[in-house]
Amino acid sequence: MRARTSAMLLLALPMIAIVALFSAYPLAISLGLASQRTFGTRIATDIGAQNFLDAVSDPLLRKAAWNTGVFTFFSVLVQVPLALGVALLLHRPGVWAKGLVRLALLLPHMVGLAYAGVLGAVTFEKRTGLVNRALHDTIATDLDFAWLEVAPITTMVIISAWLYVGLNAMILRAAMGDIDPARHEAATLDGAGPLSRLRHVVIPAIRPVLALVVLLSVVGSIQAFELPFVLLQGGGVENRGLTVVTYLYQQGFEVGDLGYASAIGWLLSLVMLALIGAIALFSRRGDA
Amino acid sequence: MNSITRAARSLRAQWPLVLLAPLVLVALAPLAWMFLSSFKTPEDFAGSLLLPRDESGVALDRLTLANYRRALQELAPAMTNSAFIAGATAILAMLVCSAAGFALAMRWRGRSLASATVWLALIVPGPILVAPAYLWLSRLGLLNSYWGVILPAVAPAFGVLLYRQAIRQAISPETIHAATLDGCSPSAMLAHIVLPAVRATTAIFLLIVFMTAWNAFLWPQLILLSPDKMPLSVALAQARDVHFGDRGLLMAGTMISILPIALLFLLVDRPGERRARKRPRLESQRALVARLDSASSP
Repeated sequence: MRARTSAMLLLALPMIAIVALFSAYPLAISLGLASQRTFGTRIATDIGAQNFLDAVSDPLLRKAAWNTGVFTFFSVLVQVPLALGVALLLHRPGVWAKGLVRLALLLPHMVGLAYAGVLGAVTFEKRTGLVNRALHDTIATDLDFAWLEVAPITTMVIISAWLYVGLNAMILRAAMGDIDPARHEAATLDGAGPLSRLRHVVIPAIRPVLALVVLLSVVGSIQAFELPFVLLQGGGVENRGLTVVTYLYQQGFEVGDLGYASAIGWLLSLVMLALIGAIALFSRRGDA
Repeated sequence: MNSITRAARSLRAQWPLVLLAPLVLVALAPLAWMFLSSFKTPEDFAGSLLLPRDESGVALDRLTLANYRRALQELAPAMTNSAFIAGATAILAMLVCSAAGFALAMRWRGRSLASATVWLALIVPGPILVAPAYLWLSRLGLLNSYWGVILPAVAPAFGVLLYRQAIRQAISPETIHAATLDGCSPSAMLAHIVLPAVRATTAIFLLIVFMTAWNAFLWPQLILLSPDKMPLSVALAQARDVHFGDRGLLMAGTMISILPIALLFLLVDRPGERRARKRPRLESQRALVARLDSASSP
């Protein structure tokens, strides 16, 4: 039963207009922009592929890429197993106060990244912040340890985990709940203990959702801007916390070269698409 | 099995709580600390970790609202800006996405083209668009305008797909066909048939879009240049630069920024709770009515 094209088109038109105006058109001019050097929005000179050549040999961009890579890698490494563990713990039957535990673990993700940056700055401050004071009072560590100056990436990994482990755990737990109980029963009848069931029933069954969680973590971490920018007020001491998008922002809007920023955006997006493709391929190869 | 064995077994089954407890503590500690710190004077902030203390113990009378007064003074205009931007984005996005989702749920001649548009929006990475979109918006004259922040955000791809899925499940093509035969216009169909059928989806959608817009930082900072148009996220980040020693102010400001989202979550999540606890609620309602009856008739 087909609907009237004119009526449906009318309904879809606002969405199409917005996407065309604010996604498609900027995408269309992005490569052209990347072949220019601009001074703000009014002055531009054509320089061909020079931006890309400069980007590849730019030491600061390399540092940003390294920082971003390290942050992404450890973020995923910390968050995914933790989320999986929490999901498994909550999946156990007969546990009391599950609702309260859920609520507590989900509370952090409501804090937006920019606000988490402000909260993190005060929490990890040396001498007066919660982290140093609590650690000092319990296991007598250095009260003056300057997290944000010396270990910004570590701090960001911790804050990111604080924000998102609960949310990811709920997503995984929902996937676990959807597993057909007959599969658990069949495995138990075959003599499988809980650990074996975990390996052979649970993990394979939630593999697509697990891949999605990993994908979202990777994509989110690789584009990190709000958290480092607010937390470290830019790139931090000696640019130890500089991420690629922060560098893009600085080049495009503090220096004013929108062309270089566009080139950096292109390079980052290509890397991102490659990673997404790799994860998608990897998750699909597991299908029997 | 007697009741003691049952109790022991039930207690043994609580071992996950032992492992979850530290995680819950870590999750709540920064929030609790922020909450308490927002009510403490600078001396108390440095003096005690949790509640303010004096010679005789916990000194609750030392808690103060001064931080909030200062924070509101500094951030009230930004709060209004954020509320306006997030609210307008959420409502407009609901209209655009529900309409587009509805269109995508039906079969018609241009559907694949419309669908391709949504997938394009979904796949294009953000970083690629930042510089060219800024340039384009400056040419459109949308710099330093609320609409430069609102309009790009009213057609999120996830929203269109969310509504498409929900509408497919909630509404049958026959209903739409009957409505078309009755001469119903598309906007009337949207308002009277589609939207009422997907209320739960709309609630979640509004929450997510509002939250995303409320927390947005990069784009508003680029587009909204003048201080009077700044949203809360940008204003608070700037406050951190200007008032970096005034932790009470920053904590109060962060509390203020989280509060609307927390309230929205509580509002939206109640339907879920009600479904899970329907029977006890009915019984408690019946008990209440019974008690009122007996109270009104002495």
